[in-house]
Amino acid sequence: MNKIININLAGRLIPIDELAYEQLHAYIEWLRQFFGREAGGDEIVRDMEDRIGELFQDRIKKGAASITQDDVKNMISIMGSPEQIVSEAGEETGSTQQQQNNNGKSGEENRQQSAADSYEKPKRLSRSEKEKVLGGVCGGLAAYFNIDPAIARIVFALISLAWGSGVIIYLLLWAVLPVSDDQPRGFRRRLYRNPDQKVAGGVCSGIAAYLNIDPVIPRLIFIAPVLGSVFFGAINSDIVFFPVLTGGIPTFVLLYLILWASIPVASTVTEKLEMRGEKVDVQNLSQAIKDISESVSKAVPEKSRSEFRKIISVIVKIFVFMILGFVLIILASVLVAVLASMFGFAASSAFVLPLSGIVTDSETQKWILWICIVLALVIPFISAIRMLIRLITGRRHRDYKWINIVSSVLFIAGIFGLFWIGGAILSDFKARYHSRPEALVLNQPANDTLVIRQAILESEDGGITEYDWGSEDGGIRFKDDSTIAISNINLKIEKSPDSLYHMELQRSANGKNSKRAESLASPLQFAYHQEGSILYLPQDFSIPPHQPFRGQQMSVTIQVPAGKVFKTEGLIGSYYTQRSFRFGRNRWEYHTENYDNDYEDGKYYRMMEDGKGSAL
Amino acid sequence: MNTENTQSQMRKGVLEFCILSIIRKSEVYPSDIIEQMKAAGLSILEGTLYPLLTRLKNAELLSYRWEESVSGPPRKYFSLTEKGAAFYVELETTWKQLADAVHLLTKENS
Repeated sequence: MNKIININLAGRLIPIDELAYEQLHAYIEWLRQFFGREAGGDEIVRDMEDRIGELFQDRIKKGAASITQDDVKNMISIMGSPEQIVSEAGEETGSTQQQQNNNGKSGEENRQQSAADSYEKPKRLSRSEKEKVLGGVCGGLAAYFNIDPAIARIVFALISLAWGSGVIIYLLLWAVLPVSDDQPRGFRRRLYRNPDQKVAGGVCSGIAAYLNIDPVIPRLIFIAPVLGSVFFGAINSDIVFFPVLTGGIPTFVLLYLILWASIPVASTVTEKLEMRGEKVDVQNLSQAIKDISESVSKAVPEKSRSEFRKIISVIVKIFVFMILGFVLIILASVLVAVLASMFGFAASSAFVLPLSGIVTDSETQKWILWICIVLALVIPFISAIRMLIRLITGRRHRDYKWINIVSSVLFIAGIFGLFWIGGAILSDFKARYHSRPEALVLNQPANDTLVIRQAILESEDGGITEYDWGSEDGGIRFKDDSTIAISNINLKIEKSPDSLYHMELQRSANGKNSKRAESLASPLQFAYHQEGSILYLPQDFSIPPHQPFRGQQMSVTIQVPAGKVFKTEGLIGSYYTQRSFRFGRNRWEYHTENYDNDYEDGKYYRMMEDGKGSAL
Repeated sequence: MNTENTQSQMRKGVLEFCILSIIRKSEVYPSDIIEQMKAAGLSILEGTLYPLLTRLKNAELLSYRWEESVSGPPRKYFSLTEKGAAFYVELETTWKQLADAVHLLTKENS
């Protein structure tokens, strides 16, 4: 059985066997490489492709159902096998080069020629003009050590992790090394993923081909932490190595995934040769073409033989994908955390109650806001990763044009949405409302001494999760899914106009107009209580469900008659902080102002006639 | 020094000359060149012909035009430029001298 594919060869539609196609592809690829060195090489290859197309079309016209391997062989015997073309053309190119040199038109080919000669020349470390991302340092090192530039780049990236020393070395080399526009010398191994010997992604076998070792070795290294932790876990988990090994699992998995994503797969014959570090030349190419047809004809019996290997590969695949899922979940939660921290207090709830309604006015607004945040943050994040991969590998991946377009549109939509919602939220801070001071009930303390104490948070029953944010200064507390408490309470201690202790409360809030601000301020409850001479002040007040935070604030004034005593105990910082939100034309202000906290915690003060307390 | 190498060297020199002479007679399509040469007993790989044609064209000895064909895409038809014609004349002289000399020298052996 043979798969037949349709190809467009120089404007002709040719049905061709898959195997024959492989050979044809390799042949044309070789032609491209061989003639690509000389001026007008493209044209030569185009003409030859054209001719090949013509030959094939003749075959089809004569009644062949498709182009077979024999037809390709036939075509190659007409056009000339790589060996023949080289032996016939070798001198030819040489002579034209001679000509061109004499004409002073030394160009690409000339360099090519000298590159071929330069095997003997001593290598000089230089910056590469051809293989460069920044300054060509990595490309130059790679040429010097005859390795893939991607490896040099990865090494530099790793060294840079050590306090940025890689960056300094890079800059030094950039400054010191001379530029050379040498063509990459002869052949060079390139790191590819090997699709022929893969278990999961072909990374290990690709590395093995690159290093010219058995694929089992990199596989064992990658699987070592897993095996190790299983082994030591079975014997004794207290062993020193254990954490090293368990830490190694995610590291190696991540490394594998990064390599999987960043290393291209060796799909063409030329790439497979490059992967093994075999010089892409005539013999190798012909050999490789033969190998393809042989390996395919051999493939069927091999499959039945390696039933065991197949099972192992399935197990490994399941394992890898499970870990992949795990890593993705971790990455997603990291991303959420990043979003959270970027969105300040509202988002710190993201872990406990995602999409809390504290910022937004309505459900719709909330969802739009979150979608926009995700779009505006995740898209640049993904693009950055794609760009990094492209930079490290130095290879241009196929451009997915529509991905770029879609992601740009989504990104712009996200930014637009953020401004839109942001504007709506900000304008909801425009007006400020202050209620009339309301006198609260305060029993006169015994011994003319009032202790103002911070109420300790009662843990609510029913195992409701409480989440504290900024416990020192107060802040935001998430009582349950729908209730948020805010410690935006401040306290003033004044001299009483009469001989009694008094307490007054003023509620304030912002809103798009004063009516809305009032509707947000009035339902606020001040949960204080008094036990004898001890007045317990709440740490915070709850914002009713389905109401957003719009600068709600409570100002408490405690009036102490002259000559009587008071003490504050454990009051949190927010009691001495005046927070205000203002929004005017082109102006958005969040203002905090600290009162002079004249009264030391836990000390008794006597209220004097001038309205200030004096320490006892 | 193997025979094959020398043979191909000998062939190579005259190849360009022969191709130019075929093109000089009439405007031709590459396959025509192959056929005419084959008919004359001088076989050439197409993989060698195309590069040669392109190089001659780049050296402004040849020019080409596209001609519609009944089957498939248009074909390239090559013809000699003035420079090419002059070049051919030079080659012809050289060839004649060479052929005469070779003939003269080898005659004594045979």
